[in-house]
Amino acid sequence: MIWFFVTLLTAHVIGAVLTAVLGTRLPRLAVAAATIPHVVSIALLASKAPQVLDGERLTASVPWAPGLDLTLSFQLDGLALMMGLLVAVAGILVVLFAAGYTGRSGKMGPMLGGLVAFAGAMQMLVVADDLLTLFLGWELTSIASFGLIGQTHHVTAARDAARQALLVTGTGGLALLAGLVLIGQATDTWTLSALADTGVPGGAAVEAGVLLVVIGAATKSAQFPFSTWLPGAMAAPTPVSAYLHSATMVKAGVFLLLRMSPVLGDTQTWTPLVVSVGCVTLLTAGWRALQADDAKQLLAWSTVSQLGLLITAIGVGGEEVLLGVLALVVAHALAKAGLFMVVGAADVITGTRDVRRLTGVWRRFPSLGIGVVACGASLSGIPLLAGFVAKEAVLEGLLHEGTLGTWMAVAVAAGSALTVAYTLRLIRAGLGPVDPQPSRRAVDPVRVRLLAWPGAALGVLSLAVGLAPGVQDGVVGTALASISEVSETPHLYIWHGFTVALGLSTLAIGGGFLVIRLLGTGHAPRLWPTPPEGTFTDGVHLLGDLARRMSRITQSGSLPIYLATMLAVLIVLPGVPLVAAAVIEGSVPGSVVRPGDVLLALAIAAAAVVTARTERRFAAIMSLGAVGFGIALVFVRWGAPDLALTQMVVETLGLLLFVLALRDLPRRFGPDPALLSPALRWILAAGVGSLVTTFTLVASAARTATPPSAQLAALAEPDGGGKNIVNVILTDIRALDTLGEITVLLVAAIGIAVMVTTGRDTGPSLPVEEVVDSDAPADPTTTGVMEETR
Amino acid sequence: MTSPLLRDGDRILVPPLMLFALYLLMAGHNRPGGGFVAGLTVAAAVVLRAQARSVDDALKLLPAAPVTMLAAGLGLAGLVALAPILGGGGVLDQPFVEVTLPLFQKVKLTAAFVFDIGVAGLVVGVVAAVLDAFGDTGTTSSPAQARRARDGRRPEIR
Repeated sequence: MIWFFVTLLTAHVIGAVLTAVLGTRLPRLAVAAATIPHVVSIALLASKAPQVLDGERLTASVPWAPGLDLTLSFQLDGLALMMGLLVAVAGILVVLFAAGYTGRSGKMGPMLGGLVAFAGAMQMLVVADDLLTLFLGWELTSIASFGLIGQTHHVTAARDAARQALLVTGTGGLALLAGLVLIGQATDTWTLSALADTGVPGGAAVEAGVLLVVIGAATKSAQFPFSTWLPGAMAAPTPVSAYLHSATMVKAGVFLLLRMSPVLGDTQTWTPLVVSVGCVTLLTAGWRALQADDAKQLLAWSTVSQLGLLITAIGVGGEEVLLGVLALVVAHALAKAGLFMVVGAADVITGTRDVRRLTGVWRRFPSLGIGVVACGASLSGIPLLAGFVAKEAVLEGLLHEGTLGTWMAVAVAAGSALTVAYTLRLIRAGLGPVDPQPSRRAVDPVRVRLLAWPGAALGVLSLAVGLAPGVQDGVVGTALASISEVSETPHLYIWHGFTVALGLSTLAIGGGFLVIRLLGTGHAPRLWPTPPEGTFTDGVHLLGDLARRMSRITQSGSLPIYLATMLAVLIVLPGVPLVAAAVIEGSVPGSVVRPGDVLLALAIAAAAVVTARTERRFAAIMSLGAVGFGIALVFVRWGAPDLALTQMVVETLGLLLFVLALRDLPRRFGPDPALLSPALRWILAAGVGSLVTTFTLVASAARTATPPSAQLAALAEPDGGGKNIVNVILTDIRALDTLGEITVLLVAAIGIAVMVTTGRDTGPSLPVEEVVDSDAPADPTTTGVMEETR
Repeated sequence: MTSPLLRDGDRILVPPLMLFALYLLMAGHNRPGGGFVAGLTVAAAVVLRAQARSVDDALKLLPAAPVTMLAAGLGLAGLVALAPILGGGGVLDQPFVEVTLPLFQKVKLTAAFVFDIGVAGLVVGVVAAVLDAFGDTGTTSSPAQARRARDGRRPEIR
């Protein structure tokens, strides 16, 4: 079974790399490479579908750090199957649409590659069983979306939007991690499947965990009060929006809540929190959608609102409601992806997304018209379409869930009325008389087909699912079974009879028409003050300013001050308790002293004094080297050849590098900076010296347990296969430490290289090059500047 | 400007230094030595050459560009760390085998040795990268900067 998950995920990794490499130069192959991972996903999921539909839960896990109880574990159950199929099917259509959207000139490689990588992250999230695997997939989707939203990175707005999306969803991801850890700690269970079996205990820790998990879901699904990143993310190319902001990324929050609902549904926080977040979002975002004139903004707020609807319903819970929610997840993904594509196509063809200027587009391009009408109708819950069936099921379920359910059914109906209204605005916009002036852009007919057909296909699919809702019974029903107790075989109906739910639906549709009648062609007025655009970015800049001000205070730029601060901390923090303990114990233990050591110590001390007192740099460097070699001799005398060897080589290298640097420095040290008085320096020096001496004596005498070195020595030969214990420790027993250390070295090297070369880039060398190039006599001002800068 | 002492010292010392580094690397597992010291020794040879001739000449002692050395070093060590997973083991499970080769007789081949090669490569890379960045002196452009100027500077992004 593990090969199933490995293939599923690696197909996306390979596909993403391949697509990015083929890129713009071989667009057809790139499109094929981007389609294949989705096809592979569908084939894999289909091959396991019979088992899953029989109610089996297929699992697999790889331990990757067994010592820490960390496991990568995956499961394929009904919910994972449904979401996985959704991600893959939407993925194929989006890839085709993207091919039309970018056309020949566009940067196809990075975008398609990013989409495939994102799909991989999404699949990982969907099939995750282990809580931390889930988190990993979650974060990967955030990171991938950052790259996708920032596709047009030369546009400031796109960069700001990408950063906002990353900051909001990334922070939410951290909240989610904290929540998952709290829940995992409280139950000592780290897999979703086991948690669903055992449930969670009551208590503050779990309730806090619920709060954090819901915050995570709310950021990802752009719920109140974290909504604004999603409309901002409309700066992304439309294929990205069609994929991320309809079917996949924003659904991750909904998916998480669905996954968690059987585990956390009975906690005290869950229902009030989830319902209120969802309900507020449903209504406010619905109104915001009505305020928008940009068709993409309209769709963005519509998505936020619809996600609010789903989340409200999840919060109420109950078998019937969840059935409706699952059906609505599918219906909304189909409809909204389709609408995004249609709007994107209209944008490419006419050059505008303003609903007031789209006149006649749906008439001129009937395939776009089919898409917008069918998808729009499904989104609004017009009968005979998928959205209607799903919304009916949600309403029907809510009405069976007591007072809260009834109130929420009313809220859903109100939200639906808004949905009908803004969708009508969008549809009506393009139905007007065809603009007699020919379009400014001539678009190649193949491209128009690629642009229009995926949207139309989604519209037709919405209609098909709506007419025969029974086709999804199997998948949706199994998904329901994986998150809820199922009493009878679930079934989705096109006709419930004359029920209260039908009445609410009718009212919603009527209300929507009424609203649009009242509004006319304009947009809705602003009912409550909203922060102006760019508030978030301004906040980020403010934070940056604060940081700069902080560092101006703390970072004086003076090396003596830094050093003095560090040494003072060293004396105070470990020094005070050390002296206190020594006073309480009453004695400082002695140590073995050999005459040779005393001589050596005196020599080292003398060299150190010379280093500090000499005025000439070269002498200082040489005597510092003498200190180092003296210490190497100490190591030799105490039987540590490896240490001594390393110390010698490091000293030599240090000396050589110092000498190299010396070429650019004056021969003598300048006058002492007046910042630190000599007395203060003496105190610091004496303090650190005596502290380190005392500490060494105390620490070496304080040992009561057997040193672990004995164990390491015993392990070295049989386990590490080497006789040199030091080396075996470095490369085998504690190899992870070494790996970490060399990584730090690498980062440090990059840091130094960047710091040095960046400083030079704007530094004085440029004018010199210019002077040389122009063959002119050296400009006195430039050389003057140079000298000063040096 | 370079003193004959330094020039000849460089010519005579660099090859044995390299050889000594190789010895340290090979012997490391059983005697004093190891990848870290070996890397430092090579780095010392490189810096010596930079002193005697130029940084450009010094970097020619190395098989690859500093960045490549850095990446390859860490990559090799990381590979050794992760490779056991493929065989079903844990991270950093390091096997060793004893084989008998002609001329060398009994030789123990350890994964730790490969790990050590990575460490050595990275250490050399670090020093080389620093040298490359600073260049010969502060006044003229460093090799790294010259490359940048040649490749064209990236546009400023706010």
